[in-house]
Amino acid sequence: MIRWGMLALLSHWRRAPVQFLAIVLGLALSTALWSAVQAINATARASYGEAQTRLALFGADRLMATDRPLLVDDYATLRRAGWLVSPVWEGTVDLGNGPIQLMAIDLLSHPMVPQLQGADQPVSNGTAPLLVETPIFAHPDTLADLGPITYPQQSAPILPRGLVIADLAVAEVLTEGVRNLSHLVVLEANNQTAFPQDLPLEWVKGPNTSPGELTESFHLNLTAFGLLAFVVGLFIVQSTIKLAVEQRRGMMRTLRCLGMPLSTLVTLCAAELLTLAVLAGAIGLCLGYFIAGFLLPGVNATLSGLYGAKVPGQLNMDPSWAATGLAMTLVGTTIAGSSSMIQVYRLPILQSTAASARSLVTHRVNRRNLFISLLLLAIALILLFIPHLLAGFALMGALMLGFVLLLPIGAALVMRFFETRVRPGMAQWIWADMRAQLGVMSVPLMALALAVATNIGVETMTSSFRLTFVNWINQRFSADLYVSVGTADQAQPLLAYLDQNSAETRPLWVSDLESAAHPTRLWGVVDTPYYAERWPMLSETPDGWAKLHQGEGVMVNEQLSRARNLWAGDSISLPKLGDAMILGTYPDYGNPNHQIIMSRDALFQIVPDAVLRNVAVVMGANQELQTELRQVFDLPGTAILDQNQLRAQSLQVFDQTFTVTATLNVLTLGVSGFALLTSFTALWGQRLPQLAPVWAMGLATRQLAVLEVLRSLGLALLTALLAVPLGLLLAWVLLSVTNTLAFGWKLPMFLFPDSWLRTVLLASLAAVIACAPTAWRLYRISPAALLKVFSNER
Amino acid sequence: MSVRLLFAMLLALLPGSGFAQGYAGLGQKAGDGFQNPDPTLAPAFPQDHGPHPDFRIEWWYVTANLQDADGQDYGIQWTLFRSAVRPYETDGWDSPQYWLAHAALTTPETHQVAEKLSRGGIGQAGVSVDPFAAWIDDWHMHGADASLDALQLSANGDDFSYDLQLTATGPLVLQGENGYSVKSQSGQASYYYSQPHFEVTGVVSPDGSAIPVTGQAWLDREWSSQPLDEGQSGWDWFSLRFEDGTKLMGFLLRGTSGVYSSGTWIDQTGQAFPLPVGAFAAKPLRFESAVSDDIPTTWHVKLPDRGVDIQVTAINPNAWMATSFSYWEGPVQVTGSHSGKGYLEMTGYGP
Repeated sequence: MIRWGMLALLSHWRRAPVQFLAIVLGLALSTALWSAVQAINATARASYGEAQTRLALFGADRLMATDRPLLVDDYATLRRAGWLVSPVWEGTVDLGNGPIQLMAIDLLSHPMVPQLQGADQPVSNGTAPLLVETPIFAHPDTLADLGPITYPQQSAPILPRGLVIADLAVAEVLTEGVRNLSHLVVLEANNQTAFPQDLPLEWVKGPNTSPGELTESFHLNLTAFGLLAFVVGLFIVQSTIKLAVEQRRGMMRTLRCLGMPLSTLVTLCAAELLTLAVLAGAIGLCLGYFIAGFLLPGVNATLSGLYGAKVPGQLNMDPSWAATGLAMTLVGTTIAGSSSMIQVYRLPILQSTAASARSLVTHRVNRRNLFISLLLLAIALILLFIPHLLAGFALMGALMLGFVLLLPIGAALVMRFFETRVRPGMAQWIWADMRAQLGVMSVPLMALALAVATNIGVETMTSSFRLTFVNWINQRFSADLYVSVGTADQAQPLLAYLDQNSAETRPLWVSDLESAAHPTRLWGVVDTPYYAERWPMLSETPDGWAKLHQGEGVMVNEQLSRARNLWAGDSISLPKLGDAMILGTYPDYGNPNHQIIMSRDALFQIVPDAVLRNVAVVMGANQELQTELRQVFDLPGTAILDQNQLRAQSLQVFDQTFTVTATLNVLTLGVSGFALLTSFTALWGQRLPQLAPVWAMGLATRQLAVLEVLRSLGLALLTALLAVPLGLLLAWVLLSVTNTLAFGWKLPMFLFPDSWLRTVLLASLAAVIACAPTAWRLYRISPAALLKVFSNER
Repeated sequence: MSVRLLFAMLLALLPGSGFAQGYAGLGQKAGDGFQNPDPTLAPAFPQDHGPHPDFRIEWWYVTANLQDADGQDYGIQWTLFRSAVRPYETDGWDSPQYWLAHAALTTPETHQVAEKLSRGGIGQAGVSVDPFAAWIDDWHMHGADASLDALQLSANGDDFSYDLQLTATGPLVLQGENGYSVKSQSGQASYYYSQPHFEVTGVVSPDGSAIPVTGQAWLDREWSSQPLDEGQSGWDWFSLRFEDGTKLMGFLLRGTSGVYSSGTWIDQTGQAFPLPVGAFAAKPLRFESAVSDDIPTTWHVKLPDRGVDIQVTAINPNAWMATSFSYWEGPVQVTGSHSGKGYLEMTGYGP
């Protein structure tokens, strides 16, 4: 019974191969999109390791000696005073193949060591190693570049290329340069506050910016995108399953009449669906892998641009994303198929397919959808006021679903409006016919709306991001060079040298506000017109910068303003300075910390020993200045930041982001176009009885075909147009709600109507392509086929 | 955390991997130029308070039983281990000597542990003879002079610390035969002496609050190049102070060829009487540790020659040292023919 029942159920697909294809391809495509995004994310995250390591190696807080070399004894003295620090010597060595950067660390205390070991490290053979015989650690590529060397070596893929790490004992063998220490890394678990007396040490805070944030934002958006694409795919599956159940009602009734228990029937249907899901999921995973492989170079370039570090372009076949992809397919199929399964369960044995009742059902469905949709929008309104990232995402979901459910109702209203206003006859029939189709077409149209909205939303977001960011970089980094000053005693000669070379300079004094609950950096600036003219601001009191230079107030970054709700006109309490007036708030993208700008004199009042940390240099005629500075002051490569390079890098980041989002855009639209195609094909049988009378009244099949295309185009156009505001709403949520919640800064939203037009046109194109096979069939249909419709009517 | 990982990597002295070489690698053959203890050469002071780089392993080990004004029990442990890869010391990063330290503060309910690791040669850890000082980072045991008569002892962890003054009220005790302590039938031995007569005052801070305490402490000094036989996998070591002023140090060394027991009886005057091999007997009575169910937390200890028939019970059964090599170490209560307090150390058990 079970076997024959299963065979009977499956026989349907032989007669309806398109439906089969629709389910499998729909599921496969949505799984593919989702898993492609997952694969990209997983691979990119894996490649963070290197950048994170770079941060851990070079970004930690450190102690440096101020006016004499840092001695090993200083290290021991600090340790014996309870300071948890770890010694580091940095320099270059020649291991036989040219100079290479060497970082010598204490293998017993450096925070990086657990990562260096790696998981594949054999846990010793029972004897402790001699530290002087421990290996040098480097990236495999670096080791390859070193060529054959006699030292024991261990590959550490997490290390940046071009860097060799070794224990200090090993380093002493490699080079004679290791006499003193370069600096001491301050370990995290440190509760000491005062240096032992007589130690001329300076605590240098690690870099305050974290490029990881921008990348996280990027991943967040990719994931949201993947999820939306997946939902669009599910719409196809749901509509197809529904259709398949509908068309098999007769067969199911027969099976039931032959004595198959209801539970067996439902189980068989569920098993069939599950098999389809696994099959489609597997296809989707393979597809996803290829899509990811295609997109990954772009993503990698994006990330490497953000990090300034090379990211290997190898796609990792990580089982975790494959597993989540398959799980998503199964869960998605369950969601999409559950209502149909319930339908099968409730199937009355004797009732025939009641096509006439369908409009009633549509009404009921519409009422129910209207209710759900209003409920969702109400929830969205509440979510808007919950300051939590999860609420932000829920808000996005509620908005999209609520809006999309409203779509058929809205479209019906529009159509009824036109229906009552056009001349009776053909025109009125076209509108009425379109409206009649809405019920059946609503699901694929919703999918299309989602796709259009997602596209517009994400594109608006990335474009706004690009515009804001590039403008910001152009304004904020308007000088040609940014020179980091290594030590305090380097500052004055550097300024003098620049002055001699008649370069225009803007020195920047920096100190950290120790008393603040959140890391807060103070900047002391000199009085130049640059700030008033160029510094990008979000809000500012009149003559803000002039007042700042006179010491009458401070400017704060957006992160501080938002976190403490202090804006222009409020005042902020600062140690030794008392209440300072906030003169304005400026955007500070990608910085997780708070920042306060004040005049140099004000900074010196708070922190008398604030150090000169940065000099912005306008090169003027002397284009060789960068090279000269490097040579004269022996500055390391990272000490000078070239503005052109910075801008080119960030532009490249965005261009790569666009490649990725554009591809995903086309794919999502493609998926929804496919949904339309399957719906049109599935509707073919139902369409004929509706078209035959019109043909009988004298309309040529050619005209019918044209009308079919127009109808499809009209539906798609209407849907896409209605989806545009949803897309903008989505972009607003992404920019103003989730981004603010996630990163503490808000991105201004810019409107790009040409991109809306492009998306709407693309959606229309998808609709035209989707209805083309039906229109072609209609164009070529024999009169006999149309006549048969009447012969079937009783 | 990283210290722990590292030490595991560097020394791999975990009991599981060390079955053929005794607990914590202590059964490793001397060789490679390392010295072995010589029964004809007794320890000489003060120089033997200092380190012996040409021996593979060495420790400065203090345990103390303390009480606060309310009579609440505390136990502290302060241990500095030296472990050498080569039998020499250098002045610099290439030192082949490792220094490892453990500190613990135990109450009947809590057991707080910390660990430190350093190399020799750079001054971060070490021991100096005159004045006596043993240290690693800011943990230290300082003497006023070259003797061990008055010591200042301090250590701290993430959430505990202690700072104690130790004053000796009796002479040093040479364990075994004149400080030559045999550890197996096949003759493995170590140099071993103790100062079991410390009176203690000071402050312990189990949770940030400083609690004044008083009590007694016991210092052990031991060094060797292969103190254990290769087949020996762990030991149970007792240091007990009885209320009548006598003291007992006894240990069981468990191995493939059975149990080897030895010890020292110390009378009221501080005179030491080495026990014949096998005279000291101890049997586990109860296993009540939440850490692992193979850890004996109550023992029946007998020394018939001295009329000792006692029950030794852990004050905190969960005094597990979850350090790079892990073991049980904590204060104990003595009842039976004698009553008193002391410390128990058990290795080769646990998860």
